[in-house]
Amino acid sequence: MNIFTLSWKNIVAKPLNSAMSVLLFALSVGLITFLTLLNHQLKKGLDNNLAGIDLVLGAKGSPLQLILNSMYHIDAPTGNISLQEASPFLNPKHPLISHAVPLSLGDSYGAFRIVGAPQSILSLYGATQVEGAMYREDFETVVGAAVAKRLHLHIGDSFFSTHGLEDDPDLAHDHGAPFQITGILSPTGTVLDQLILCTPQTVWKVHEHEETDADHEGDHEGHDHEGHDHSDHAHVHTKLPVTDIDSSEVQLLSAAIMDSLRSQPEKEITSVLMKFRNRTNFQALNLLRNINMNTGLMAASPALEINRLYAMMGSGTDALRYVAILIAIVAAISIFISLYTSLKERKYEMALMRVSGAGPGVLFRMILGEGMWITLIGLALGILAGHVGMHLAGSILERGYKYQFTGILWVDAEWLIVIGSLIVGFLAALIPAFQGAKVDLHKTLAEG
Amino acid sequence: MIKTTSVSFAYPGESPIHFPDILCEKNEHALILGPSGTGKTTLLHLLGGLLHPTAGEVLINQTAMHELRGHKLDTFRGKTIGIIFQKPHFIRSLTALDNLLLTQTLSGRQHDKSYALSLMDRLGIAGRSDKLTHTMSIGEQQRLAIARAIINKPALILADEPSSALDDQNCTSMITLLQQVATEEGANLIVVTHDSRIKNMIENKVYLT
Repeated sequence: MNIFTLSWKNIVAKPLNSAMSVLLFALSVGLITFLTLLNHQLKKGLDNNLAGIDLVLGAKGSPLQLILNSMYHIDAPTGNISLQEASPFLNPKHPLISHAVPLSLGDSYGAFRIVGAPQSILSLYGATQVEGAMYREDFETVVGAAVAKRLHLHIGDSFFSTHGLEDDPDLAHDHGAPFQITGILSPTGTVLDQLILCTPQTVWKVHEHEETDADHEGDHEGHDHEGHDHSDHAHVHTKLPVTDIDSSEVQLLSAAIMDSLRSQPEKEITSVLMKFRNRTNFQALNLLRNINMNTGLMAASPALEINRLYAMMGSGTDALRYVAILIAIVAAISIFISLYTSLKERKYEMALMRVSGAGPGVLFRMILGEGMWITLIGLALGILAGHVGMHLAGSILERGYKYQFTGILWVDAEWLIVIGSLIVGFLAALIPAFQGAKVDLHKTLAEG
Repeated sequence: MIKTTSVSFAYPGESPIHFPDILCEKNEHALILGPSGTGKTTLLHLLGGLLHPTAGEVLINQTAMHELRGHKLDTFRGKTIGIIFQKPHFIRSLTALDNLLLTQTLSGRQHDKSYALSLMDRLGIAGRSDKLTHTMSIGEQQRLAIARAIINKPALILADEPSSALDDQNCTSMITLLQQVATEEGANLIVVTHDSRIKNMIENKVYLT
């Protein structure tokens, strides 16, 4: 019989003695695993959505808010800016800026934001495939993969938008033209999955319509039920082939939109996402300061703001991590105590093993083995609990953070948890193992 | 063959106990008798290699056991000596059979399940192999203790007050069984006891005073 089999049987013979240690260990490992997975995915999500954007231009306010709103779509806009002010940065010949993508926000559908932007936003986030066709005309939309999935949208469906960025049916625009879905993006792993894209002009039209609504009430009767209702043909969807996005088509369409925007300086947009031609260019680096000091606009650097955000979130997860480490210490003490007490009960057994020829090393390994079994079970349960917990929390987090969370992944940092746990378990079992190995044969056996 | 020569042992801070010499030729058995407090258990532990004599020699089949230390002593004890204690103790978490198999493994042998089972059969506890030891009757536990003592085919079987907890009938059958098993195994049997019921069952006697 193998000595570790014996360790195992000793554990199983008194399951309640070990249960507390296992539970505490699992709790601590589970918590740390959960935090690790959460942090990893938060960071990855935030990083994915950086999308190489160097600068965001918007109305004056909080720079973090501007970034969160324009890039992560999780906060309210800081306000609008006029195209007149923004137009120098939209010039394709700008010496410092290679990409500029203006965004128009304001409406949503089913809590997903409708973003008016030129089609070049797709290449910014690295979207490469779409089912159906690109949006070309106003009120045509391409929706992200998560939007389509959550709202069960299909190509050819239509819907009315809701005013504002929250899902509030009271604010639905039930007048005017409905949005028509022409395409559904393949998943990108970026915030694009959670957006509904259309031309900037569409966003203006929705609101102009509303503003003039009161004046021309009679005019719109014909429009009222113009669009197809979503439910009308809920069961006759045909699936279109998924094709690669034609980048020259995107460029052409975007260029047209940009020209049209520059020709209407009186209109407003929410923000502009910008990429530098050369990130190390001295003037590019100064652009942020120049904009903030010399114009009525605000520029914010995503990298800077996101680092600030990490620092803020970090202290929260750090606190939780300390709690988890505290539990780990309690778990280690519990392993120590349970082994130590069982040592006293089993002194005679161990003396018997010595009589049968076992050296002190065998007893040492047996007790160490018991500690390691408890550790391993706790570790396995904890890792499992952390992943299951992450998976369950994922759907809640997804709504809040606008990108996907899953429990089905393994991150490298988890190896550290595994190694750390094994070390903690080893150390907790070390003293009892030494004590057990030192059992005094004569004394123990004479006492009976 | 077991031979001790002027063995003495001193507990720390106490005057040494001097033990009479013991000689057990091949296939001979011996009885160590004496009232409580005369060092019976101490002598048994000296013979079993659980204690080192302060002075004197303990020879077991020509091996000077008093010179062995550490790992060598553990291995020698495991392979050469089987001990039956006053109260049968086993590893609680293991079944009767696993207790025997563990004893084999700990002595450095391959475990031999069929031999262990045949031994249990011989001692009349066949069919008890899957029982946890504390669920067996005291008589069955005594027999299992004998099985454990002889499973490694020892040269010397030591028994410490094996009959003290038994009634007359069981006492007689226990000692008879021990003698029979020892003879079959070709081992020397040394029984330490203050139980006068055994006196007449073993020829060779050593008295401690």
